[in-house]
Amino acid sequence: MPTEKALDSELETFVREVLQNANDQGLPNDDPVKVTFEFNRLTGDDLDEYLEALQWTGQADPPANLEWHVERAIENEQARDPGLRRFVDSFEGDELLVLTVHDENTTGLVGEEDDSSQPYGALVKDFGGSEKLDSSSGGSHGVGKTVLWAFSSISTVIFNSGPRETISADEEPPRLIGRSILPAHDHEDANRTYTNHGWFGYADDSEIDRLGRPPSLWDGGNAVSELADTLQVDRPSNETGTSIGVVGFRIPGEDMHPEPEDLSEQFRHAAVKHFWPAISRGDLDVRVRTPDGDEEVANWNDAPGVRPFVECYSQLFEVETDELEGPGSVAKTTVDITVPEENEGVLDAPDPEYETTVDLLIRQLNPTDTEEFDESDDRDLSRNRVARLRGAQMIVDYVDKSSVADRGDDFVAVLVCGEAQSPNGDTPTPEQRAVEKFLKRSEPTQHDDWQGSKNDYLKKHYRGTIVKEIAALEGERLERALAEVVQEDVESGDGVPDMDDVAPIMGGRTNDDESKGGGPVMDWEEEPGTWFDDGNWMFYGKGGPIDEDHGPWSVTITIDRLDVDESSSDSIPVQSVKPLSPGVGIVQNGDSVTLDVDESIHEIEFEGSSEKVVDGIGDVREAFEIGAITEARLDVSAEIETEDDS
Amino acid sequence: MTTIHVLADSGQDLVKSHDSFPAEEDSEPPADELENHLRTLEVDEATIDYDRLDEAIEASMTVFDLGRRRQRTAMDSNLAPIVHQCIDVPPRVAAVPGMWHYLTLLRYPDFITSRWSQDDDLQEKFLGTQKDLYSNHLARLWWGAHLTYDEEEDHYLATHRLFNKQRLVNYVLDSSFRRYRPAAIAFAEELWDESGKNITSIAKRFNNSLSTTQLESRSKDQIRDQLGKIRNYVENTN
Repeated sequence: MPTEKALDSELETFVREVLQNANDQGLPNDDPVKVTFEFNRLTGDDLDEYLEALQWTGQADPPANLEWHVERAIENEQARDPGLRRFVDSFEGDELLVLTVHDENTTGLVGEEDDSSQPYGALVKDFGGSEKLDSSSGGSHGVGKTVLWAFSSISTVIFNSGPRETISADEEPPRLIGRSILPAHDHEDANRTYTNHGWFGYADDSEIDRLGRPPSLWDGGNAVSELADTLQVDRPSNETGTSIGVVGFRIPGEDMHPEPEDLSEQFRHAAVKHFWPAISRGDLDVRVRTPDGDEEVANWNDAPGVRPFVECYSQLFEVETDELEGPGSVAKTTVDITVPEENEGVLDAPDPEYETTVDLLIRQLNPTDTEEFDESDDRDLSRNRVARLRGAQMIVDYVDKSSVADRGDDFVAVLVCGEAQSPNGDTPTPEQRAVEKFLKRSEPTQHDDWQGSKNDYLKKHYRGTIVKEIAALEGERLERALAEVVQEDVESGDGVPDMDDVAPIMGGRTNDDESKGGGPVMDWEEEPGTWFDDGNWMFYGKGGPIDEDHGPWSVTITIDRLDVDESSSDSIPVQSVKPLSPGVGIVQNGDSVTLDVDESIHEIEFEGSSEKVVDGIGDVREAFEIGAITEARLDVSAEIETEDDS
Repeated sequence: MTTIHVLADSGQDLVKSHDSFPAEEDSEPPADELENHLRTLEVDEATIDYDRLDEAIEASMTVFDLGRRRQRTAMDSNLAPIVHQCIDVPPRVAAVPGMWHYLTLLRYPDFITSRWSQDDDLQEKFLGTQKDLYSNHLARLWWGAHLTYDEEEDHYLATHRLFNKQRLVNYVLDSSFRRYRPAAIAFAEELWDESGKNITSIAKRFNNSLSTTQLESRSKDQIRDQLGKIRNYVENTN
């Protein structure tokens, strides 16, 4: 039974990005990356010490306390942050929710202070202000971390890390740094303006001069570890990795006091939904700890609807057949992709063009699958979706391909691309690497799509066809591959609808046997369409035969009522039609209407409407409920006599 | 731990290519050959009470007059809850077609033959079609009961009602929303005493309405309410 609760999409983004960052920084061994989301509700002495360590109050002159900055930042009209104001208005110093994200078996925040190619630098670089987060950051490390600040009531995040390697001998883990990103604000007395960036680090004037901010603190003795402990970001072990503290956890735009128990459920759902490939391979372990000390490991029960996908994916190296053999069976096919050649102006050793394929696994649903979808109560985890992933073992997105199932079996599918196509432990082929790079570069900051169009970053790196190749993995080429597996063989003639019924607008019929079922015969200047207006379905179209050497021709218009499967259940009678072109005859036949045109006319324009579909029905809402207003489709077929016929 | 017998696909093929069974009258499944195509599943938390099921099926075949359509329907309504109770397996297992093939072909072939002897598509009642598990007779009884069983109140009233009307059960189990339990129960509760003709009209309108509304966001009561409105409309316009 689905619950009323819908998973907050912002929360989902948060979980995705945090896990993606950790997953990217996994150490090259067989152990899983472990991520623990730990909620702590601070009160009493713990909270007092915490606020003191954070310098929330005190230090009045010069104003270095955080409260002072936050109170002024909310006055900034250009960068209004209502969440910040809500916090200031409601915080009474008695309770604070802190989320700490611990990752283990990861590299930690390696890199020098000013090396922005490394995880540490990516984190501290200037991404809050003028620098736009455009597609050029796709696939790179760290930028996803901006999402962290959005989930802090005071936009403040603390990092404590044990990096895998350090540059100099003085640098002994842990490494501690904090950052606030606040709207810019003024000091009213001192005539001074503060930028967006506030830092918690090592107060060393020469370094501050060099970097424009304080560097991170390293532990000489135990002082930094103790500070980290007070700030709730102490590491669970001495192993490498990072603990990230989100101060005053909130969901942007929502209630100030989210319940950790509810959050735990939603975090686990999001983790499983997007990372089941990594989890199923034993590469990722996600848990959530609530303030009562309960720790739950994210598993399939948190999002039961992933099970059919997991079962499908588990057959990647097992299944050979491209035919489905009944409910629960899995078939494997491929989708073609051509990776364009890399641009030599940008890359030192550019790859050539690769013509290759990605793998598509398709599972025919069985009754239990659907039950699991119902339990998940998540639009993405439902029938006829294609989960897409590459080597990162994260689901980029779930694409709805219900239209393909209209004429075949219900299914779920997994599109496995790039390095994900090679078995665990094997070296990927050059083709797989090329696809991996191509797709990675196409991802926007959120890593939740493969975007070919308007993607300058991609354009910079490749020469050749980009947009079409990226679109192929979502659009027609993917659909064709799916259809070949899930749809009945059209030749078999067992009740599969004629092509004209499915895509009536694409073409029409002629009297010429040879061209029956061939390509389009009509050239539409305005493709015929139908829309609902004030109780009637209206329609309009403008066009004529492609072949100018035509005889008399006709166009028949029917408005199909569609049911849940988008198949035509009956038709809605056409009440009136008005040819806007002269010399056109009108014949009403049943619910349809035919426009007869002689050979001298090459193009006609028509408009019309259906009978009222809501006659005698109380209100519009009821008209929907009793199936009077439904989806509808305009079926236009053309009959054209050729010269030979006459 | 319970051992579940499952007929492999090869066994299914054997039946499909068989010369006389089930096409010829009084033919029987080739039991000896099929035995060679059995696999087993070990399932935790599953029990199958064959004694009770045997008894219930035998009693049904004696009590109901299978020559009459109404009586066959009544038998389904009577047996569905018992089948669901006796075959106590998790849905994942009940979704394995081979389990039902074993039961229909090797355990209860006489029952299936008697129940469906008037029907052209007897093979489908033994096997289920490629696309549709629900056409296997026992699977149909089990899933129909599973979908309409009232978990909170622990009763099968809606199951009885669903199976008591052939048109209703066919519509619900063959529709694309069949796995949505609240809809299945709503249909059984709201339309159980409706005429077959009206059920068809109402169901068609309901299907139409789903082109614009998301079923899974609706509760059983909301769906009942909607069905009530459609019924009124259909009755008034007839």
